[in-house]
Amino acid sequence: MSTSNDYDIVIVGGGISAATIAKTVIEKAAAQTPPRHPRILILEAGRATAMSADKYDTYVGAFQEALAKVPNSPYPASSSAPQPDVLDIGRPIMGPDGTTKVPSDNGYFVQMGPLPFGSDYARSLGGTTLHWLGTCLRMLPNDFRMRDAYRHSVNWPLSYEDLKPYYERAEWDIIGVSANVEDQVYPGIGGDPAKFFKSANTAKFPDGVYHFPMERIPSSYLDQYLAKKSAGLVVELTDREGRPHTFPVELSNTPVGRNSQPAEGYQVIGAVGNFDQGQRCEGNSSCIPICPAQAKYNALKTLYELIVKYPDRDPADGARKARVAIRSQCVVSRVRHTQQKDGTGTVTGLTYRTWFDDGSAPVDHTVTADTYVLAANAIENATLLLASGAANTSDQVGRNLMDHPLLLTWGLLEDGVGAYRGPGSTSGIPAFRDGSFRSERTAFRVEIGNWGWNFPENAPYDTVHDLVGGGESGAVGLYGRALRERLGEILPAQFRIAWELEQDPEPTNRVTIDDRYKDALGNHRPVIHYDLSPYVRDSLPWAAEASRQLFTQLGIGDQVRRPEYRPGDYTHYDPNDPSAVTHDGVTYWVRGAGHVVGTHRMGDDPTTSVVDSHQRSHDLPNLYIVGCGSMPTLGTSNPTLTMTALALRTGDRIAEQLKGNDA
Amino acid sequence: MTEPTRISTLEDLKAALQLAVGLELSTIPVYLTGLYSIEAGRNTDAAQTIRSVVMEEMLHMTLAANVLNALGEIPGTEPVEFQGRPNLSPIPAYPLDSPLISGIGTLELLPLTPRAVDSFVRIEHPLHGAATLAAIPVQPGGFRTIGEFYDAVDAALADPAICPDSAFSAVRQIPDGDYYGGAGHVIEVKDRATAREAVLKIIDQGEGLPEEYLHRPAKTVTDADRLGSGWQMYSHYARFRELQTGRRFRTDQQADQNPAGAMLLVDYTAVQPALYVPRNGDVDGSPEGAALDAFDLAYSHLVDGIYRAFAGEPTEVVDPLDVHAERERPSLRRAVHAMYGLRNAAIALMRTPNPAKPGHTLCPRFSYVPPGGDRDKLTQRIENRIENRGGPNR
Repeated sequence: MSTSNDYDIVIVGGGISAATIAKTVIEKAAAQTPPRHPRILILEAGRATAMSADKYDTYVGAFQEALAKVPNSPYPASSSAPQPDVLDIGRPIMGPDGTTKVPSDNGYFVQMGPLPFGSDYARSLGGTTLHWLGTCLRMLPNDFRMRDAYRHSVNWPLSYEDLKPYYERAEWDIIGVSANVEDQVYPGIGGDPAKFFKSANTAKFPDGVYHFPMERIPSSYLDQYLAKKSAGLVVELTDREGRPHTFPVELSNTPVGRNSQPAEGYQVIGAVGNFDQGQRCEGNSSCIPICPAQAKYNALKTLYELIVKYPDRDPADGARKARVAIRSQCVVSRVRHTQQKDGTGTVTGLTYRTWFDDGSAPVDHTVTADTYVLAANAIENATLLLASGAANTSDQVGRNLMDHPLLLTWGLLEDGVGAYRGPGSTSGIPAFRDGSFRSERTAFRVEIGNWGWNFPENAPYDTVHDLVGGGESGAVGLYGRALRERLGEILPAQFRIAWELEQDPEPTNRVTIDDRYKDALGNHRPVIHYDLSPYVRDSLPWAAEASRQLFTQLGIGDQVRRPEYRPGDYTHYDPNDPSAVTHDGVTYWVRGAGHVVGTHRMGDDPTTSVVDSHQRSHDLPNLYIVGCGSMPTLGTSNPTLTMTALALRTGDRIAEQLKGNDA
Repeated sequence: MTEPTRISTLEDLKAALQLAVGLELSTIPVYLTGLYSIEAGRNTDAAQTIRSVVMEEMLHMTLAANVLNALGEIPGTEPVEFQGRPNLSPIPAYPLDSPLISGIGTLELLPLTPRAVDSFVRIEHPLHGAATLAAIPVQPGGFRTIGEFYDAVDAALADPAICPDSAFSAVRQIPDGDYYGGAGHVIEVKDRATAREAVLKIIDQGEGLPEEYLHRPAKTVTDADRLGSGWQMYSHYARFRELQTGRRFRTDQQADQNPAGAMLLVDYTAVQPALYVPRNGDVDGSPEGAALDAFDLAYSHLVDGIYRAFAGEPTEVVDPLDVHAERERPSLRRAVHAMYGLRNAAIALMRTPNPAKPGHTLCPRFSYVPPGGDRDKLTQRIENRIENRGGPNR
């Protein structure tokens, strides 16, 4: 090594961005002339429980025993590296002047309101890919140019065409995506999926005819039922000027990071430490919070490949090879740097604290590297930078926090559709993802949920309670065989849709820090101010109206409430729920989608953005701040695929810069 | 020393391969009974070991079928004539005394017990536990070991006088992408070389392990497919020896040594006390008997489904969402659904007390009932029962 630094690259956070960047840098640098073999350290704040198949099974056991099967239920938290949990979401009390009177701080987040931020993430090795659904939709061309196309939000410094080759690599080389191109009919792509996916990599895809590494996961019976029942339906919605907008309801099989039938030449990646497991999606029906077979991609798969191929020791045969070290239970508390206020500088090291489960006192360390990468989740990146006073000349660090605010609608269908069987979702309705209406209100994606009412009504458990009775009336209901028969009629007919709204970037939706709020290791907890803009709120009545039109077509337009059970629309929103939002006098519930985005957005202008299009800090050139936090806008795609594409692009750039070093 | 049986005609080679498909099938219920008897979440090392072997047995069955198909013969469940011996059924019935391999001993369906593991080791041992080949009695037209059998198959495949080049063609091959994939890759057979490669793969991973392999490092990786991800599979014999002795092999040990590596603990009390009861045994006529019948019917449908896939029958899977022309899909994928169903049914049986044998639970019989009169009667019995009870889930 030419420098006296401990490593070539240190990456903070052991999730999909870290895994992608490490793998990309190593492979790219080894193929360059002259080849380079970097030494990489990955620091993970949480535990590294699951780096073998049987240890992963302890997560499965925790999930099975959990009473509330929320996203983080399989992944135990620690007070040293605490994580948010959707069970902790409470509503802050706001004063009449709109300021926070009492924040909600019963979990890890300190919620300043007016609305609680409704999403969580996992602090364990593998990151939130441990409990993602696996949806791998690319963003649409207009999503990258919202300012130009709709005079709203901001443009990206990248276009869809710029990112396309990285999308392909994310789908093939990192995640492994199952889908058929011909199913991917979205608005705003000119009507031809083959053109939208046309590849410039003609060596791999002759004539540029793209295909995914694996075939589609078969559409669920529910999807087929809906497609049949809703055939020909065109939803009509009216904008503020009284103009009608029409949306043909067509179902589209969703690309997912869950294993299926491989294309020729693609090697399916099975479970970490046990390749016999996790070869194909077997429909275990618990993608969130955990795929028990690891048919669903998680970042452990890539991290495992790295530590097997590039162990952190000198190779016995003397061959020059990259080396990867992963240290878990190491929480970075400071980015040390030379930056003065409103100037630039360099990062000189990271301070981190190793914590132990056996009661030993934590130990402090400092590590140095040529290049530093923060890949710790959007909110964690922001709190770390704010606590370090780093990379924030633009004052944008922590701002523009976004999610996909999610409206649920649900009903009981006339027929059993096999709810609770198969993957969480296999199809969606893309019609509302793009259109001229985006100049006045936000776009949304429709996810068809295959898990009955588990999300809105805590089914099947609450359904059982309803039928058994003994509630307020005290009346005894069903039991034994009659109970089982009735459940057999009701549960398979439960149906829900998630209307996932694109949130626009707002500087006031932000993560800050406050010395009054720290965790057990003394690190700052995220203090979050969060609300929905009128642009987002205006789409709530649209989504609700689209749902009504669809439910009517399905023959379940009647309003019904539990504990009565007959076909109908069960959608209702209790104003006392922490997620209640009132708009034009109507109450909705707006949940989080787990898509934590936008706290260090990218851009060409250092005065309005934190990082450049390669996710490099404008202020600190040897620092990359990566992940969903870099996204200037969110579009209607679940962000992991786009985050992975961005990480590949960053990895390529870091590898190129190694050229000059004697690594 | 007795000369092993030779396969000298193409007809005999085809019959041998029909029996090879059945031979690979015959070990699967033996291992599955052990695997499914393990209580949920317990004995994960043992479960993973057994499961990994079963995965490869399924691969081997597929490979044998591909070789047979390449010779123009459709794999079938019908009895065959081999070496002048008529009426040899490829489909196993338990307890099974192989009509083909005299050394292998009786294959029984047992929950995971030390005795069961002993039998796994015996099945996968090159000499099936015998000290020398000569110690194994020979039966005319049969083989002493699986190794001998596959040697004879390979010799016949290599001999142009028995099967000329023109005998091979790439028909009805189960493609690599269709196999579940975990245990390695399917070889699509198109000529003599690929046919022999497929047989070699069967031998190399497990059945018919040559005796000299015992003197090689136990952890010699049998299938290089996996090295990319650091996942290493060594021979079935070595894997089961680890289970038997409760220790892993060290990397520098030979397969015929006692494993001396890390502990591999098997808790034999975390196992359902399933007890195999033959058809027409004590529980017939009871709900328990009906459950066993239903399992046999499901198993029979599964076996038929697999053979239909080997026969190249496509199954049309129509996805109404798909507005594009749907290709014909091979039916092996459909059979996978039945495999999951069978697993769930087997686990349920093994949790059900056997009313006639206190202290024991039911054990799936894996009894194949061929299509025709007996199958119809079985189907009818189960349907009547469902009607009487008002539904299938009572």
